[in-house]
Amino acid sequence: MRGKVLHLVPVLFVVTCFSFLLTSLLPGDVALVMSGPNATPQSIAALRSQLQLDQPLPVRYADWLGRAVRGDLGTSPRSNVTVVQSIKDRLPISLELLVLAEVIGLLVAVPAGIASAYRAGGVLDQAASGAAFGILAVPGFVVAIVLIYLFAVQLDLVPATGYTPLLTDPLANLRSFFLPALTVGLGEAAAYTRLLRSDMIATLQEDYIAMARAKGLPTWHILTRHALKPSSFTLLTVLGINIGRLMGGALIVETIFALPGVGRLLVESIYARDLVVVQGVVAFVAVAFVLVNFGVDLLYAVLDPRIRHGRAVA
Amino acid sequence: MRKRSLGILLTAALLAIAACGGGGGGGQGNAAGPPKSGGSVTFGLRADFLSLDPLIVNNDSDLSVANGIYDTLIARVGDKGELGPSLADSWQPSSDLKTLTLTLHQGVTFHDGTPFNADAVVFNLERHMDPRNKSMALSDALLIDSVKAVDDRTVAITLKTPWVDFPQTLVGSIGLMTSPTAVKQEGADYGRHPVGTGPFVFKEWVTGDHITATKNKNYWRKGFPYLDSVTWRPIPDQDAKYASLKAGQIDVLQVATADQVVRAEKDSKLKVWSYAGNGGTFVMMNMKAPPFDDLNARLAITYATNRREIVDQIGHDKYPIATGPFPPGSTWDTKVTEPNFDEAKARAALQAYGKPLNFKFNIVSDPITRQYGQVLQAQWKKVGINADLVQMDQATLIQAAFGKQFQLQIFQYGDWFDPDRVLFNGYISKGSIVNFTGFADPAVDAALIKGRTTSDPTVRKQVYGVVQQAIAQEVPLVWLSYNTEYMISSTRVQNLNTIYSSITKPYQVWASS
Repeated sequence: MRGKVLHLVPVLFVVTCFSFLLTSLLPGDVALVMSGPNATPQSIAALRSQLQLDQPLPVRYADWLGRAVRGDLGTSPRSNVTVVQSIKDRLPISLELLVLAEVIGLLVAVPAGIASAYRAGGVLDQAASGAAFGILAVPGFVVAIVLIYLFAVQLDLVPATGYTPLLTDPLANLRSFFLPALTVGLGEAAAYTRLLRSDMIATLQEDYIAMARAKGLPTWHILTRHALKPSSFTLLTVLGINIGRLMGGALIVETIFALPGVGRLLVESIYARDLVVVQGVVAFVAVAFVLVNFGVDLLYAVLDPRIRHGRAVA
Repeated sequence: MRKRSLGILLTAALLAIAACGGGGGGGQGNAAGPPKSGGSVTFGLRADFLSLDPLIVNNDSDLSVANGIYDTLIARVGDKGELGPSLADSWQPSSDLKTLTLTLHQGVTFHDGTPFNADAVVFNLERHMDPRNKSMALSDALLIDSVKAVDDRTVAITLKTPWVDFPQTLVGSIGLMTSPTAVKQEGADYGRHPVGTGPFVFKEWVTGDHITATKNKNYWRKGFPYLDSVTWRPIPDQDAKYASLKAGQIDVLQVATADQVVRAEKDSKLKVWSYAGNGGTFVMMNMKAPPFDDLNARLAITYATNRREIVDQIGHDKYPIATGPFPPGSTWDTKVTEPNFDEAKARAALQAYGKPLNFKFNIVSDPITRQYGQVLQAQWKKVGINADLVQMDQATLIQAAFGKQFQLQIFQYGDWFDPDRVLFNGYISKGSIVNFTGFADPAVDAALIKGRTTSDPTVRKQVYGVVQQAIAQEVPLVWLSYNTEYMISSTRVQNLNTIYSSITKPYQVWASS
């Protein structure tokens, strides 16, 4: 355990280093773009020195890292708001989308995956596979627009875009999250169904399942108690990756549904070359990603006793 | 999409046109009877808001909200968007055009009760002039030498050099008047707690989702505003924005694309509003580098460009064909037309050039600009010109323009009101960072300086004629189409007539039930 935590330090260092370097490689003169329509050579030069763009990259990185470890990711020269504040404002929205989308994903995928695996090749399996491939083949932004057209424009059940804070009106909040969560959730459900199905089919070939059957245990009991847990490793790994990814917001979905999450902050900041915000957000997302996956690693031990006790099957 | 991306381009780079404009136009009919008070309207805007501090406010979304909460010193009025009174009842330039004397409207107070007077104007302008405040309008503010309160309702602004077009800057963010009390009280947090004199009082801002403001019952324009409240919502995705209009989450869609206008015109539940501005879309050529340092190469491009086809195919005929900096009917148009489509002449120019004409054509990678690129590429190919399309994002394209690291690229001028804005920095040979093409002509320099430093309209029209003539001969750029700004609303929205530079003025908008 302590070894794993110590491992994190170099990983986080490399991750922040890369995110800093990559964002520095964005084409376009940051000072020029940010200076806006009324730029003068003087104002551009002033902004350049304010952003330390006249300093060598390692110096900028060391300075940034020194402040970042103390929780200061800088202040956007565009809006005068600190990056930490911007992330605080927007993270709850991305997190809510993440939770709702994963809940939808799992609620659909677990039953569908189990049912598909139980009678692999059957009608239900084929229907689920067809639906899953269909959803996977259609890009998220198309799904989003189709869902808006269907649920908001034609049926008028939920708003097409926008966001109501949870504390202002919980019901309106859920209504405003319905379409974006469904868009992300459907995509996740499709992938999860396929993963769970294939792992489950393998598990169902195991001797102990045959044993359980021979003992006359009811099918649903075998499927949910004996087969599901050992079949969920791949699902858990991918879930961890997806949660880590969604910590940074669903870039396209947040933009389409006008949800003010971390993803939209990132997109807007990239277009405006607000490097301070881009670097801060990318580093935050990278760190969150590493930490979530670290958490998933720990969960393996809970699911599989072999990992808990010793290194034999590392 | 085209309006959006090219619009920013221009805003971001070409000229300091925060809120200027001209041309003709106006909205569709207003047959809904006498104005009615009450109700609310939600505007769907293009970009997210950063801050409501005029130091930072600078795009059409920010300015639309700002124009609800603040008033500017000078406004644009009427069908042609001419300069008219607002917080300043009148303004008088001195004969040497170095001093502008503003006479302020009396009896105006800010939402927090602070009186609006000459001291408030001095406070606001000096706030922009102080480089430590990093105003986005610093270059406008730097033109000012000093601001003095002559008496309670008179302000004298002295410029460093004579500039006939200075009043136009007071329409933009520098002219938005904030309450000095609130600015001092809120400090760095002011941008989220704006206090102005405007028709609506700031109520709430939910980050990234909306800003709401309620009726200012003591508004100084008697009888206005009509609405009880106004909400502004940024929705960056054009399709989602249109769907939100159809589903009723927003009542007005700002900055509509040609496709959306065509669709909305067939929809009985929607209304289209338009304003023909003076800006336009064009391709510009770098005259400082091969191949376009050769006039024949530039002529070949001009003659090979079929503007009619572009306007029909991409713009659905929603934007007029452009043949020069001034639209027909403009006060400044001296009827100089630039070389138009003629394939035979294009081939002749190409022959005179004497080499194969191959170059890189920079475009922004959004779907509509890409269409422009592809149609132009195909047109030029017909006469044997090979354009290699290079897609980039806006930031990169702007940098290429500033650094003159391009051969030919697509660009756009936004709406403008006085020719000095669009011509001076674009064509003056020295001291401008936005003369992208590298155009240089001593006669044009002299004409531009004359045009900036005289207020006689006859002289100005004559000197700008000289500029038009020179541009038509040297063809640093090929005009494609003039901008028309479109907004779409639900039928209950009335009197949305003033949409200069895609900025709305909600004080005169009302809603039928």
